[in-house]
Amino acid sequence: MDVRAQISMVFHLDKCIGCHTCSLACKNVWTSREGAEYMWWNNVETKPGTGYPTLWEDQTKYRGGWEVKGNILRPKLGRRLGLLSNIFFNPFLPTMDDYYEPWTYKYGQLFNAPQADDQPTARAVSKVTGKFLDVEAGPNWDDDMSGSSIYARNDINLSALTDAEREALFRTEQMVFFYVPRICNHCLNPGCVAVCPSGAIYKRAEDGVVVVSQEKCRGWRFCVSGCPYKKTYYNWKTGKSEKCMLCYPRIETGQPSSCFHACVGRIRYKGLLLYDAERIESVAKTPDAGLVEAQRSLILDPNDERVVAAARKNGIGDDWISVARKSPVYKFVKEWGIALPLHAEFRTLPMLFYVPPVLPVLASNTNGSYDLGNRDFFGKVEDSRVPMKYMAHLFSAGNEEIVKKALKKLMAVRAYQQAKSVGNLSVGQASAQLAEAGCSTDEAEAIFRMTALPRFEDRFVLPPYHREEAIETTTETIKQKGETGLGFTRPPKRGP
Amino acid sequence: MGWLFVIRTSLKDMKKVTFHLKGAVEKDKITYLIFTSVILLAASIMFSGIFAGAATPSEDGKEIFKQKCQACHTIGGGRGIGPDLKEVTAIRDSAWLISFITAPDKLIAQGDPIAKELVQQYGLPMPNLGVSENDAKAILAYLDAQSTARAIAPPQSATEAPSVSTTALPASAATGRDLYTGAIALTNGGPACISCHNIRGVGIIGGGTVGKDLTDAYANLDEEAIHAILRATPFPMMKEIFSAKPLTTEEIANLSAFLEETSNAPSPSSQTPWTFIGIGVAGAIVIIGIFQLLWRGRLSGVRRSLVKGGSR
Repeated sequence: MDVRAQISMVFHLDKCIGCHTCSLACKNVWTSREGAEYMWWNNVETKPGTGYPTLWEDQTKYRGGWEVKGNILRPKLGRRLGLLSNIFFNPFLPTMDDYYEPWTYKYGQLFNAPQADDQPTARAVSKVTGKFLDVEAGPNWDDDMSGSSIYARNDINLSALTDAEREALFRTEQMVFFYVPRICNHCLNPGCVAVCPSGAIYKRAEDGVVVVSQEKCRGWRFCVSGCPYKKTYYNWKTGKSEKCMLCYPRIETGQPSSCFHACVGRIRYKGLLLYDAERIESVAKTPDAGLVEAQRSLILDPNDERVVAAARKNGIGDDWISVARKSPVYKFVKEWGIALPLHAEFRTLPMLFYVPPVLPVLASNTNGSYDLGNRDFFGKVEDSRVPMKYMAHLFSAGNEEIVKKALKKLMAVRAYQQAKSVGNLSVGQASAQLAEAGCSTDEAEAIFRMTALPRFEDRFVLPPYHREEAIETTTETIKQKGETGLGFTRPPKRGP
Repeated sequence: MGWLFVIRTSLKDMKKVTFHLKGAVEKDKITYLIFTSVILLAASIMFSGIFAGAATPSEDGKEIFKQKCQACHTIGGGRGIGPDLKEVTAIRDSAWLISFITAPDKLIAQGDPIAKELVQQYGLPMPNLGVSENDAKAILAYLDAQSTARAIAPPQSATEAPSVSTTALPASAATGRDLYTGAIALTNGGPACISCHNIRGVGIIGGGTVGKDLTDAYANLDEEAIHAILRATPFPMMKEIFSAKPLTTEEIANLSAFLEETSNAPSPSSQTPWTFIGIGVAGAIVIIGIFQLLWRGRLSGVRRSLVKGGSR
């Protein structure tokens, strides 16, 4: 057993209102620089939709993640020879149009335009070329199903559905959408690290945060293709790749990352997990249907004495182990089993888990009135407007049972709370639903508290990094203060 | 193809040269000690020789002249690579001559007007051949003696050199060409001429540009001078490379024949830099074409085609 620690995350999609505050918090802190304007280390997508960059989930185009060929786990982008043969001409990159051309407006025109019969307008100008631009797309262009006749219909997760099911999704009474906020997953088996020709990307030993060394990066951009989530970005100004680094300067000083801190819906949880690094390869090779279960089994119980002993042997301190015991992520993923990885079939073992959203039930339009038929308003999981196949494609590598189980538990917790505080259900009905979902009343209570009433310190349980002690051996701490963050110790020649 | 071999051998030799230089730095002190003692010993032998009258300076000078000077200079034989040295002792001050013979590079670097003029006139500076002051004096004594003798006698080298050298051997220009390009390796393992020297009509892209273009070498010098140069390889880089791997007499004859043939051949008009540039441009176009074909799917965005497809 090779026990290591990993900072990991849970996003509770039931609570996401799609306000993009997380995106803006991140943009303001990290990517409002020249060369980084188009990057959204955090972005919020509307599903069904094609996301940002367009069709990022379609690995036939971008070749991200891993595949099992024979009994060998290899990057979809190819192994050494494959990479080398494309090294000067990587053919699997998103274009600027697939992201979007960043723009601003010529606001000055509103004040300085010469007097004329027309109202002056602020025309859009590209932030890359500085020329006037017809804005055709943006990072959340299909937000709230705008343009969904194009973008939602081309969501590749719909490929699991029959034509009739797909058509049904786009009828007005059955129209449905939800939000998926995305950041770097800080995977256990990261595709970007595996394909980097310069060896510039690495996973930090202490907490598993995946970062790009700005000194080693040579801008080959294979990480951009290699990451199936398209969460590494190429900075055209510095000629280096950049990505979400989980605001490590913040977490090292005991603060949650910017997007976590800013989240209005308080959907984000952050905690420590212990996992068995020895089994990463065998887990990543598991066939699709068993992937989510296998990934869960990789996460170790921090209360198990053997795990604790092995963790101590690997130099994980008791303070970190005790933080791992209080981890909200451990509860969501292992204890309750309601948080699932996004697109586990990419086999990177993402360490960001999503609690799938409970969505409205099916209805039909009879004689101009909204008709639920004989379905409950809060209904059954099977009656959900979004077919389970679609959810399974997103969150459980096609295994419907896993998503269904998670959603049933969430529904049962709702029923339990309704019985307690609204009274539209009897306690008996609620208990039956809980029993069906395999959930005790204590567990239901705990899930409810963690979902609806968590305090700041319940949501973010961060390990003590002792950063001040770690750096004072080599650096003057007062001098170091205010110097943390992105930047170069030796500026690149093309640099900013 | 010969040129591949050429590149290989020349690289090998370059490595050896650098290694040699490195070694010299590392063994600095020991070499210094050995050299000083050897020089002192040599000097004492020479002095004892001079004072004992075992050989006259003029006779010593003859040997030294043959070894070190004859490759470029004649006495009354006309201009070679360097000037004819007949009566040079009368024209130049002897102190200047000694300092020039012992360290021409130093004098040139100092900007000596005569040295500068000579360099300009002959197109290349005289290399430092490591001649000691005493050797220089011996050479001057020999030159003195020869200058007077030559006025009557026919040039000595004209009668002497052929008997020593190679005109008797059958020389083949074709073999010479193969030696030049490296198709036939040199017996003692020296690198082929093409590694450093260009010559008209050899290879597609010609030879190296480290050394001089040898197309007109035969026309500028004469056979004897070429033989002497190939035998003594007096130029700094050639000395470094060929002193341990001298050319054989047959090789010299063959190469000389090849140089003669090239020099006499009418110059074809095609041998211009445009051939090379043309090949380069055509090659670049072909390679870019292959890239375009292999990676034609690259940077074809996906969003535009979605929008163009519209709602289905």
